[in-house]
Amino acid sequence: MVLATLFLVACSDSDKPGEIETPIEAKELLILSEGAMGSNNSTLARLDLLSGVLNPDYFRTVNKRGLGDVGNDMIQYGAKIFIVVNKSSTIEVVEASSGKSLKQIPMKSDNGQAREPRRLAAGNGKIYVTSFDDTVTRIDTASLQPDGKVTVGMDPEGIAFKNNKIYVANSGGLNWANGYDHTVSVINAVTFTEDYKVEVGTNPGTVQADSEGDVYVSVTGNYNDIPAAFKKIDAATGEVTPIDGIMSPIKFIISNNKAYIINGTYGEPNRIIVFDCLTEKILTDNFITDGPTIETINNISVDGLTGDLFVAETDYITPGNIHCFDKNGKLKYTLTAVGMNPSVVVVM
Amino acid sequence: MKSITNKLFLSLFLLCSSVAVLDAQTVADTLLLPELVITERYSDREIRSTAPMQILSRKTISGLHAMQLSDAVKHFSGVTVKDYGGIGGLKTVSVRSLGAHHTAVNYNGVAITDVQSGQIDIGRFSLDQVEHITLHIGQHDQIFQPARAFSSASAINITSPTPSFEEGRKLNGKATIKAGSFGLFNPSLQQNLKLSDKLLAAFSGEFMSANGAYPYLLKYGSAEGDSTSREKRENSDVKNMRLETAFFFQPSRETTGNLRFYYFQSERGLPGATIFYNTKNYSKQRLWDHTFFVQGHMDHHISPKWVLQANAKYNHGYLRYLDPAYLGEGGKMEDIFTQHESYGSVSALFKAFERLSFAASTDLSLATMHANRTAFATPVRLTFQSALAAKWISNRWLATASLLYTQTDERVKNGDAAADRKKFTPYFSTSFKPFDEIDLRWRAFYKHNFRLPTFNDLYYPVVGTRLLLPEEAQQFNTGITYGTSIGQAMPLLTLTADFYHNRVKDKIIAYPTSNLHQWAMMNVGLVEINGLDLSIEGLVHLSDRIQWLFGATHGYQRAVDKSNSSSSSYNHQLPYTPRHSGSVRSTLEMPWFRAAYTLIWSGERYANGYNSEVSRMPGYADHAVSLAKEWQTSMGRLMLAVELLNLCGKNYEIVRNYPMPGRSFRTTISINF
Repeated sequence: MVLATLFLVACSDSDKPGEIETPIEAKELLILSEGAMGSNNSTLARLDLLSGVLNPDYFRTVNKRGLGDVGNDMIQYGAKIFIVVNKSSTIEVVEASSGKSLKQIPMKSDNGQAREPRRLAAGNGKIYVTSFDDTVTRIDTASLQPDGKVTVGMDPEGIAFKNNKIYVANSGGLNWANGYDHTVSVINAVTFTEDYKVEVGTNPGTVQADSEGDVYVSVTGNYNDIPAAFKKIDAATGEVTPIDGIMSPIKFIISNNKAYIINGTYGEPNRIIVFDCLTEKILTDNFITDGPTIETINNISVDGLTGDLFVAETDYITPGNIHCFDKNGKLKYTLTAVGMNPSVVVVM
Repeated sequence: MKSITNKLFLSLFLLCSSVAVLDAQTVADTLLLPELVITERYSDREIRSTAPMQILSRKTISGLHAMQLSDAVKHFSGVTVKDYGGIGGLKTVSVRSLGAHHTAVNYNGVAITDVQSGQIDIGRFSLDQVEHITLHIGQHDQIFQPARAFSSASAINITSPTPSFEEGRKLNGKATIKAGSFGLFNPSLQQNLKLSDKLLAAFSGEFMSANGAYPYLLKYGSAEGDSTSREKRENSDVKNMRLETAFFFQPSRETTGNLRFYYFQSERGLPGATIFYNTKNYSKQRLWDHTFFVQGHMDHHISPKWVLQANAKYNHGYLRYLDPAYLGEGGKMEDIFTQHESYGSVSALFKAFERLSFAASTDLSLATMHANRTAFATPVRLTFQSALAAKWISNRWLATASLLYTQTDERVKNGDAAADRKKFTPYFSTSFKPFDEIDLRWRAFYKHNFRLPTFNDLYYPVVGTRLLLPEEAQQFNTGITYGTSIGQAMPLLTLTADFYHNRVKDKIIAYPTSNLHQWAMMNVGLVEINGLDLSIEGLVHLSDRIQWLFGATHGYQRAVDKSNSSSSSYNHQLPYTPRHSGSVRSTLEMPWFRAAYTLIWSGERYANGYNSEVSRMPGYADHAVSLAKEWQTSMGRLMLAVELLNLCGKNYEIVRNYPMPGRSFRTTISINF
């Protein structure tokens, strides 16, 4: 028990993206579902792990109102949950224990236009949000007020915080007709200004860092003649090198120096490739050893303590499932019809 | 309204005008029996038709509380209108769940086409100058029509009035002003000129604007106690203008024709869905479009047995879409599309025997589309259509059969073109009257038709797929019609009941590929539809001076997805297709004024192909009432009307997150001079 407590303290490193601070006995899961665009049906579900009861519409039940349209990302920081709702252009700050919304932060420009926030990262008491108005916004987790904004590349998507640096993948997705964007912005977290951009390839999507400070990027390509790739930006040299054997990375997450990468080839079901960031070798190109074949994986979340993987499945038409696998790829349980396009799972 | 002295002149026009007014049951396809044409009632034509046919005459339309074609069409049985709310909102019509692409809209005999989207926005047609609107499910019994008229699963025909003049008069017309809630202002003017005994002309112009800023209640959840807020619909304004000129000529007894010029332009805001916490400024998208076409029609009687017909049309369309708040580079997204179509048709009618006649028709159309997108395909499609049809009429039987051949030739400037198509599609229909004295008929029809993928389906950047097959539909219908009169008090009562079974194969829908960002148009759909359409219409003389006209429709539809038996939406009802829906209309004509009541209602439906409690939408009822009065003045016949719409005031939704306006009013003042 003492050892476990020490382990828990040692792991309270808020720099590590994807690391979930959980007590040894996880009590509940919070599951964010994106919903369909234009439908106002993004939902937050809660699974009580002790009773096994799933409330698929937890946020609305507690707050008497829906989350809004297209909840793209969710992160836990301390006692609060931050949810980014893209088309409603809001950030909901939710009290983790009760599900009550403490504040709804509107992400609008001065003339009332939506800024379209996308993804979140946390570090040093701040939350960083990428938005499609080409900015990263900093929100203070104590006052819950936005207190800084920096312009980056075009249509920033994935974001990661490591060693007082913020890495942002500039996808350029809205500019697909003119060749997307192809850079990762590096922001100095202390001065909150953009230091420089790194050329990584067309349409970068997700960016994550390992414990050594190496930064990994999934580059999506242009769905046509420019292929996708999985690349590493070296912590010391800043050199960008592609990783062999990962041909079509979609989204990925790094937990305990292992990258879990959704790999999607057209015509085949998605696979999860596991890449060891320290040895820089692919451990397996099909994580699931004992479980269902999942056609389309919308997202993966990891329980940093147990190594459990939560794989969100969707078919875009019917409410999707969340499959929980143990660290060896064996299916533990499946939650069916959690919400439209389920995505991020937070373990509490 | 039609002068007896001009009966013969007028009957020739009616006989030869491109939308048939011929009595199907008698052999009136000759010049010899014009009287039957004039005195025939629309309701008689409906019950005699071998395929379901519903007619809304000008008189009926005036009591429907309808300003746009979409309002009137909601009163047809079997019709589902997808209405995005407000006057400027998009409105498309699907008949018996086959989809908007399978419903043709014909304007005075010639199809209105949109080669880009394949759907006609029926909100843009005003009812200001409409003689009647007809819905044909399947096909019209009138076999003497262009080949294109055989190609759609259903057709909505809009017929403009032909000018008629009282003895000695050379000029008449109508001036109207409509005004109402949310800034509605709608003046229009119609002028008819008798240029000579052989040449008539009609001019009409209409302007319509509305700010569309209606208040609505936004609900943040569907459970009791969920919060709500009062919002105002933004960016929902609309401004339309229409100009039309038509010439009607009859150079000789055997030849009649008309030539029409039509110009329509529109500017509107696209308010978008009502997104939580982002209703103000959510959408600043604007849409401008203008349409110009010229169409001509001519009938020539070569002999008592042979009639020739020719139709031609040139159409030009322009569409500009702008999103000034787009977050991409350049700060805006702008698309400009233009489309052109040239069309010609020649048809011949051969009245071989008293009971049997044949028709043959050939159409050729050339359509092209341009866009300002880089490397847009710029497709050109040449469509050749040829039809052969036959009609048999006897006292008890009426039967028609037709075979349509369609061939397309498609080319593009960039990339690959879609494949050329060759298809034969047949049609059979019949009706039988078992008893001489009773106006009871049984009818049935079968139709196989298809619709080609539109230019959007094929060539829209990223989403379009060149390999798409045409979407095919099969319709089976069987029904009973009954007409009677009950003494002097009820001179008219008609009832129709039709049961139908439809199948759609290779339905073209947007389908996700393995990439979340990339959807593509695919032929993945298979739909099976079973339904029942009921209608009743009656006229009652409550007293010497008081008449009551009433009508009601009720439709039942079970339209299910049969695309993939392992899919979770297998056997689920198609989205936005209610199981039950209907309409009621009632007009009381009194010497002091006319009072009307209408109801459009719909049962529950699902917003998603996956039917669940979450996607279920509640039913709705839209009640409207009006009062109108007419006076004869020295200047002409003056009419004043006041309408109160959506009495319950609920912002019901036909399409999820697109609320309809609540309670509103409209007044009309018009003078026939």
